[in-house]
Amino acid sequence: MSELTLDPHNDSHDEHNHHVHPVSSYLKTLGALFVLMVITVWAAQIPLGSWGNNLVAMGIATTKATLVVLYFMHVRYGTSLVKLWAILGFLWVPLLGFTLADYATRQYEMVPTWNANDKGSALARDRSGTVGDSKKSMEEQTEANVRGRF
Amino acid sequence: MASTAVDTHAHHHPGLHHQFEDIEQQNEAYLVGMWSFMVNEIMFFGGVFLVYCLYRWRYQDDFYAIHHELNWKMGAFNTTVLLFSSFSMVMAVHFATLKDRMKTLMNLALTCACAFTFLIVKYFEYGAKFEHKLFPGPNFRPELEHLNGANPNVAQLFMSLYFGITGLHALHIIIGILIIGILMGFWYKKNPLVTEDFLPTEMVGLYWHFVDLVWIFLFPLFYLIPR
Amino acid sequence: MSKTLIQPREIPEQEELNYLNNGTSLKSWLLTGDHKRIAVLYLIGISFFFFIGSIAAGLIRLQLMRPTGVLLENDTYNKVFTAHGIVMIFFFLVPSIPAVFGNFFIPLMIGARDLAFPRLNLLSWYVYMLGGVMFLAAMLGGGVDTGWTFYVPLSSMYSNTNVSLAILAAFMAGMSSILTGVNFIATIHKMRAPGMTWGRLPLFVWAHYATSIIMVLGTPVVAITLVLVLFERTFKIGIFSPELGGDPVLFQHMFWFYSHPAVYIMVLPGMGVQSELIANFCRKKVFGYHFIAISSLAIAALGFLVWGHHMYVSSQSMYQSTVFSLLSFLVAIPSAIKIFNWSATIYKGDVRLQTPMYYALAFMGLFTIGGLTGLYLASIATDVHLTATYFVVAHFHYVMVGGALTAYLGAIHYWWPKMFGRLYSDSLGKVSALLVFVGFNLTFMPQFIVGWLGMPRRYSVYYLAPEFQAYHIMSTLGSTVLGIGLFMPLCYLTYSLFKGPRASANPWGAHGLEWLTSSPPVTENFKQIPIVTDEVYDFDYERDHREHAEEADSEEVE
Repeated sequence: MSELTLDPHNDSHDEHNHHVHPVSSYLKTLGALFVLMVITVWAAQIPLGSWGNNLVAMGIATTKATLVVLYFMHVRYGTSLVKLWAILGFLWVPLLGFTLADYATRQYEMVPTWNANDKGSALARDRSGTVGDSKKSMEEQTEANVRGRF
Repeated sequence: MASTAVDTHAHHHPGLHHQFEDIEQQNEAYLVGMWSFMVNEIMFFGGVFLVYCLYRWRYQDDFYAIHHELNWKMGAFNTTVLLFSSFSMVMAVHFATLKDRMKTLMNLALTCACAFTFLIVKYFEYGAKFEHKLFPGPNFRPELEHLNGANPNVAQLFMSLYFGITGLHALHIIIGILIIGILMGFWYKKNPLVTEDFLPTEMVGLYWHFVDLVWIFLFPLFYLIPR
Repeated sequence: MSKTLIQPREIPEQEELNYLNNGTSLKSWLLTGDHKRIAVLYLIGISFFFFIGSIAAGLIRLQLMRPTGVLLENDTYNKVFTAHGIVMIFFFLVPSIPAVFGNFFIPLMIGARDLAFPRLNLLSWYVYMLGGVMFLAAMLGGGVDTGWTFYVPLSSMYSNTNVSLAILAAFMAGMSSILTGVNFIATIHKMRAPGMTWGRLPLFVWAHYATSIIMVLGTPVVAITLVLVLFERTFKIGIFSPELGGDPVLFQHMFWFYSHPAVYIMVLPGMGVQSELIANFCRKKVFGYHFIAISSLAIAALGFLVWGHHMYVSSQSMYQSTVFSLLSFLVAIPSAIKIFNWSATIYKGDVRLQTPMYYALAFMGLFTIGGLTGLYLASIATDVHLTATYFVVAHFHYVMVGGALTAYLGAIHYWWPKMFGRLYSDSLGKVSALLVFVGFNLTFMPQFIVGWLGMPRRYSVYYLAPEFQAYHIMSTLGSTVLGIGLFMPLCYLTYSLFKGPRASANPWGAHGLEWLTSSPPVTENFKQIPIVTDEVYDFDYERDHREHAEEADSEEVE
């Protein structure tokens, strides 16, 4: 978003020494956010494969988030400490990565108890009968899901 | 000796607390506190995002099928509303720095109005889910047409995540409305706490932008699931 | 709030007025913003919960005296060990050193008048007490039998005990610790006195900085996890329970993502205390100051990446286990850096064997044993054999009791004169320290052996292996000695409050800003914010300038 570069405009009008940023930067950010939102809705309609669509959607969301953090939350003009904290917010990514890596590297089976017809399952849901007669039987769907994964 | 300490506080800022030397130190401390709180909030939502990612990965097809039950137009509308409210919030902060009381109040009111609009739309969205018996739990008995071919158990899992995460987000919106309301009260009463110092407004702004940030991710994750 | 705060700078100076007698009404305590008073409130609350947890521990030890059990039904036994775990972890160990000594001494050590957010600090105490009361209610209303780990699906589907209330209580304790963490971070960053650079921060403050980061980043994850369990339990929606379509291993991932770093929340402040004790009682600057400071941060960072070693037998991927095993071994490096640096500090130090130093020495030995046995549990092959045995129990008690509790006791004995302005009997302190040390080892050393031989944890009976009885009797005997050792400080410290000789501002001749104010400190800590010119733990400086400082003091009085 290089067009958003603006001079910090050090308007030291009071003792707080707080930078007042021009309204135009906020307007441009808002415009960019709206454009990105339209793009994300539009991109979701184009078949890019599951991964492609996900990457595009999350990439756009991250861009939008970055814009909000940098301009609306003033991190761009903040102290390095604030920047450090903004980065620390990504700590949950290792949590996500490590946990998903676990599931990616082992055989993760559909829970057998999902199958209401399996007498070995621990607890069949009482109400499963009411929702069980969908187009495919639950068993078929469970198997289809497992096949789809591996 | 003690008199020196008194002297430094003789002409202190009205909002200055006794433990700080000057308003600048206080503001910086508040900002650090606010940011660490927000990182804490990110981890809080990070936990549910992890749950979502895992099950979305596992049950992609069913999630795709059931997500048609969510109205993406309403979601997109709400996204627009929230993005705009973020803008009005930042304008409120802008005018708070300029000590322009009326414009700050107007922008805060605009933000509040957006927040209410968001909640009203959410009310109709939730209402539709309840009507279709899509609320998870013992009363989860949707008609077949509302399952769109998804495995009913996975559909329920999706709905649990949908209600759980958006509900948590809506809770933050409600808290945000309360905080903005209190802030507006302060501005209306010309409380020097807010009129003499932009920081309380800035901190409420940070919170509101955080709420917006969460929705920026929630929107594509729930409403725009690819095939 | 500010009306209830009595600010000494508005009062004509009186020598006698300190934070303890500056306002004596109950209200002046319960609505205080003073970090020192809140620390004392925490001290009372934590001591109470420690007492509750100890009773539960005593019941457990009593039960295991005989292979067929002594006193408790199986169900009751489950509830007792759950109460022991939850109370000791969420209501004692996590808040113990940070909320009492961190609260009290961080502002004093960095030369601030108070923590950055006094009202938040008070709120954290109320949230903590509310959580504690909720857990007591859960316990008295029938108990909880899930173990402190709240594993699903037991906690979310099957257990018909007061799990929801206990989960809410743990959630509250977590909230309180988040508030403390936010407060410490802002305080350490922004409230340091002029000249108090990062390189001059006492290691106690460094340790608390690392701890606060874990509190702020880790606790919300367990909070949301517990909330999800609560949802699942209440609304029967499927998040974790396989019966409802969830995955219980996901719960373990999320739970241990916090709960492993949580053990560093418990032990890092203890390491901070240890650094202070070693420096003072060896009259030396801590060897490798920067390494110890950075190793605290390294432990905090690495601590977030090792949670999988709790899950080797949980169907976690073996590749993942290998990675977690490697990372777990890496945590040994910063821990060893600390131990070696403390040993190097003692070397050629002017060692003074007073009560706090007894605890400091005990900490080093016991924590080392606890840490080294951790390596057995970090390597996958041995862990598969040792999982859920008394070996694990002994291991974490060596770290938690031998580390965190010992440091807590050391901290009490070290800072008691500063906190309350009274001296206790050093010889009684030494006796109790020895009793704690002997009793502790007698309790938990046999558990290593019996665990290695195969005694599973959480069993109320072991009549199929009656040969374990000897170890259990030794353990119970040791716990009695430990109990006496822990009871003694309660007596002589309380006695010293009323009858003990008055302490001077710096009874240990220690170095640090907290020793510059009077004992007990005045409400605003410092009559004038000090300007720091000397290096941290600069005992030579202290020796050279003591007389000068005393002169200045006497001038100040006049």
